[in-house]
Amino acid sequence: MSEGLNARKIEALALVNPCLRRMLDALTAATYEQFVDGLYRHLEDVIKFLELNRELRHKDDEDRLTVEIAGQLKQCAYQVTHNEKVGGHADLVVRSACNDSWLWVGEAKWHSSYDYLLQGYHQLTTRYLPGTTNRNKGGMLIYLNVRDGYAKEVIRQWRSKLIEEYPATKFEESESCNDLEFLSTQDHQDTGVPCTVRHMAICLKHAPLA
Amino acid sequence: MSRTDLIDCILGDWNENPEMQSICLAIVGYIHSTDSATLRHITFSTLLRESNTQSYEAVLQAAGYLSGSVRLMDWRWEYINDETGRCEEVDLSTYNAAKIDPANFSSPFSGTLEPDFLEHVYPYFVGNISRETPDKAGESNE
Repeated sequence: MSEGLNARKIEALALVNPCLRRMLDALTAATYEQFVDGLYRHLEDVIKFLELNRELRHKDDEDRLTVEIAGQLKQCAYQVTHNEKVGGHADLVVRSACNDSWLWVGEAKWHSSYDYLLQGYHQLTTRYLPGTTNRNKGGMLIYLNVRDGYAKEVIRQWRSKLIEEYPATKFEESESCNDLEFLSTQDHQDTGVPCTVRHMAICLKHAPLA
Repeated sequence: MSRTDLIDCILGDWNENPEMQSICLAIVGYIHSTDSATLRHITFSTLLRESNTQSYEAVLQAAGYLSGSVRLMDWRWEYINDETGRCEEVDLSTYNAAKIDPANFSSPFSGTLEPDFLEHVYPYFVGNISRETPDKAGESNE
């Protein structure tokens, strides 16, 4: 017997401990969709944390920021690697504790131009994502700084750029109804399986007036 | 992952949290010094005792990290009959469904509906020290 610590009590502890909640989500995913949904809930927390401390992050390079994200995901029971070779050196590779074959891949870029983002998106969807069942979801993590103007406008223009470059791609809003996110889905070039990418702005602008 | 790599990993991942480092290292020490038969079924109370702490939340988080991130253990769930002590594995689909509708599940032994199925479900862990890093390029079927 586990000294009375049953699942009901663990779930109750998780109600008041967000990190425990995210960890349980990671450890109890019964499907690939549940794994990815849990991962996105945790990523939302991590993004909020980074944005809250943007004065410390706004000069960090891509790798440093991405390693920070990887570290926070690892603490909540995701198996995460940075720069792992999966068809190329992917920025973030996340596997599930519930099933080794479930895979999510993230590409992280500071926004310097839309062509630079496009290069990352192209790498993600054609090289890093295997595009097979339960290995067909990924994310674009777009770091934004002060020179970029309104983050909402950058995301709107990025979406327009994708529509222009990939006319067959389907777009939808993310479930969180966040103006700084959207989803794109296109068939994988090798497998034909639909691959869905969640595009997430991470707003690290820091330009205090005083 | 070798024990040395595992320890390096723990020290790096929790470099700002000495309590979590200490709990994880205690569990690693326990797993590496325990016979394989015992490692097939490790209870939460064993982890709590070996961690030398009374913080359930800290040990849960350490167990989650060691199960999910570095794969030293597998985290599983079991239904325990309080009267007989008999156990039955609970799969994740059942666990998730019971979270939504806990009164709609029966005891696997008596077949009678439980008022709250999750009251009888407990975590347990399977030590995994010989496990290799998962295949990174290959595909596997579910």
